[in-house]
Formats: sequence, C-alpha cells, structure tokens
Amino acid sequence: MTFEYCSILSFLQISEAEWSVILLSVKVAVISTIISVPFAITFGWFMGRYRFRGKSVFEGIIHLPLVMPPVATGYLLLIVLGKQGFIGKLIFNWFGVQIAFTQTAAVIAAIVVSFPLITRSVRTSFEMVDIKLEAASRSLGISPLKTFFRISFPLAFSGILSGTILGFARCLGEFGATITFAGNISGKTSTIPMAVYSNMQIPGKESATIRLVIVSVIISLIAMIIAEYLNRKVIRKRS
Amino acid sequence: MKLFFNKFYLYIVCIFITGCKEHNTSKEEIAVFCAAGLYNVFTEISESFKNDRSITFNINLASSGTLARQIEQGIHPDIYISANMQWADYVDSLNICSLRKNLYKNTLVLIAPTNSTIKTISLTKHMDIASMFNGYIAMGDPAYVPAGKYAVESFKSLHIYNKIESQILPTKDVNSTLMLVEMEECELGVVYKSGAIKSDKVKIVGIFPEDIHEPIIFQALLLRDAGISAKMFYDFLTDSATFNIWTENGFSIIP
Repeated sequence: MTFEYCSILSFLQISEAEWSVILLSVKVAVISTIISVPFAITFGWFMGRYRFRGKSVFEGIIHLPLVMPPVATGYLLLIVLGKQGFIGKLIFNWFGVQIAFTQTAAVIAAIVVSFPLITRSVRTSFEMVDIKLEAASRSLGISPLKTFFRISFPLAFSGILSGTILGFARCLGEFGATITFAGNISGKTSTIPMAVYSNMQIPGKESATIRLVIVSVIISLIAMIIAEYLNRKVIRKRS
Repeated sequence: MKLFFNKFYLYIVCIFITGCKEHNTSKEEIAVFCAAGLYNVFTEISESFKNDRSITFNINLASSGTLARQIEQGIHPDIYISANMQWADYVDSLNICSLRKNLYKNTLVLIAPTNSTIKTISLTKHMDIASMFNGYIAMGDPAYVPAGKYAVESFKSLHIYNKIESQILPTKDVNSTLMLVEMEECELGVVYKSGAIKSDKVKIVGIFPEDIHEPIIFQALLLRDAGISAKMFYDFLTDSATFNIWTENGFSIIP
C-alpha cells in the first residue's frame, strides 16, 4: 500500500522541463488575456448597446475564430503576418522583425482565438444591465464615461470576469493556430498543448503526457467552475 | 405519430445493417499510413495502381512517428510506409505485420527559397554555417520526425550542431518544413530530395553526404489483416512498373 502510494507520488512528480512548459503557457495566456480584455470590453459594450447597419456581418467576422478551425486561423495569420504576408512584409522591411514563430506569435494566436469568447460574454453582461439605470445617471448630469465606470461596468463586472477567465483558459488550450503560426519551439512557444502533442509521438513519454494532461484538466476545471459561479451571480443580480 | 417513429427507427436500423454488410463483403478499400515525405510518389503510384481497378485509397499522411503511435493505439491500416528504420522496427515489434520490405532510399538536402541569395552550401566538417543566415533553419522535430533526426545526426557529425541549435525551427512533419521555406518564413530547411525537387519555390543549396547519417531507407509493412488488394498494392510498390516514378521523384535504389 505504501509502496503504491509512493509510486503514484513519484509518477505525479512534475519535472523541471514540464514546469517550464506550464509556466510558459501561463505566461502566454496571461499576456494574451491582459491585451485582449480592454478591447473585448470596448467591443462588447459597443455591441451590446448600439445597433447599426451590417452589425451582424461585423459581429460574424469578429466571432469567426471562435468557430473556424484553429489551424485555418493560424494559416491566415501566417499569410497576413508572415514574412511574405502583406502586413508581415512591411513590419519585416521596416523593423527587421519576424513575427511568425516567436513568442509574440504565440500571444497573437492566443489573442485572436480568445478575443471573441471574451467579447461574447462581455456583450451579454452589458445587455443585462438595465438601460434605465444608465439613463437615470445621465439625466442627473453625470458624463457618459463616468456613467460607464460607475454604473454599467460594476453591474456587468462578474460577467466580464467570467468571460475573461474563459478566455484565459482558451489561451492555455490553444493548439491549432499556435502550431501553424508560432510553431513548437521549446522555451519559446512550446506550451502545454504543444508539449502534449510532441510527447505523444515519442515512445516512453507516456507519463509526461499524462502529467501535462492532468495539469490542463485541473486548470480548465477550475476556470470553468469560477466562470460558472460568476455567471450565476450575474443572473442572481438581475432577478 | 408513434407508428411514424417506429418506421423511422426501422429505416435507420436498415441503413446501418446494409451499410455494415457492404463494408464487410467487398474489401476494395486500401488503408495506407504513409510517411509525409512520400506524398508525391505515393499519389502517382496509387493512381497508376488504380488504373483498371475499382479501388479507393484511404491515406493517412503524417510523420512516421505519429503514424506508428496511431498504429500502436490500435488503428490498423493495411499498409504502413515508414521513412525510418526505428519506427518500422517499432511497428514490426507489435506483432501485427505479416510482411516487411525495403522500398527505395532517399537523400537529405538543404533547401532555401528560390530567390534566396544563398547559392550553394557545401556541407563539410566545422564549416561556418552560422554566418550564412540569420533566421530559422526548419526541420522536422528531431524528437519524432525522421527527417529531423537525420538532420541533427548529420549536423552533429559535421560538428556544427551547436552553432545552429538555437536557430532550429522544429516542424511537425517534413511537408511543413517545405511549406515554411516556400513561404520564406525560414531561410533554410532540411528536407528529402524527393520533396525539394517537386517544389518550384525552393532550390536545393546543399546535399548531405550519405556517410554522415544513417541511410534513409523507406520501408513498407503489410499488416496481417490486410486484404488481397492491399497485398497486391504492397507488391506493386517495388514492381518494375513503378521504378520510374520512384527515380523521377528523387529516390534511388538501395544497393
């Protein structure tokens, strides 16, 4: 019994290389989320509050990475931001910087796929905020910006946070776009999904694969639970 | 309403039964797990094999390592074509194969985009390869892609591996390597000659001497459960009728 317990413990011992993979994933996900969220809040609020011509098309385009095969997203990124891509070429010629297959590329890929997820959640939570409250605030002579930060934002906060957490989890799990656009360079772009994929190919790396899978299951589960809790809070507030 | 649903269920069940039956009786499908580097030659050979037969090929193209893992997990094709002896040995050790043979051998080459300023690189010991490029050199992930393994082995025997180690961009298979050089994302790449000569967006700038890495022998393995057509195709792979296809694609005979 003790022996079995010990062997399970040693099996679960995360090696240094695996730790660096986990830390790298968290780093990429944190940076991506931090960049994503302000834009997502702006967009989500805009989408939740205004109607305009071609809104559904516009929204469709933004939401595209949510439903498109991630590999296709990665390929598009490579075409646009690669050395020969129409934006990537300019950047390379002016600054001599290659974007694809760097950590920046991993961050960009994560932003592109997680942004729509966060935006969706933000939008719904702004739609749930009672417009009358905003109108009341405005009628008392409070500026639109102040109204947003004093009324709309606090009321939508749990929804925004829940979207952010989901987006963060999505960043951590991003595989398709990342392997096409950022590659699997150890120490630079080799995140948990990349490491799981390559470990799966190598005989004798089964336990390393399982450990990383366990870690990602735990992280995703925690994220989902928190997001669900916050969602309920939004609904409770509303009723 | 209930009657409708009963009929509906019956209908679905019928579809399944007939579907299954058809699948079992006529084995006109050949499932092949094929090393990614063999794509062109495989397409041509399978086309010429299909000529007067009604056969469909289910082809799964990936790096030999990926395919070997899938076979190990219980997904059994009729034929497995490997670019690497170790992976072939590995699948052979699973005791699911009935036949195994050498096909042809391939050459490892160094490629660059067609418009690159790099003309030729002679791969010699202690050469100063690092000064020739700044960006990435793409190759299959040495951990599991044979082409990458051969590349690392070669660079190590030329004592230049540590000079370029930090510039290696590992890819998931040899076709991705080719694509990245074609897109000029990488200044250099290591692929098989067979892939390089089929692309007009890349040029061969160097050829790896054969004595610095283990021979790149492609092998075919016939699995035990394979049907008659699969066996015929297995024989066809080294038939004299396909000899030209192999050589035109840059392969050569194993001495």
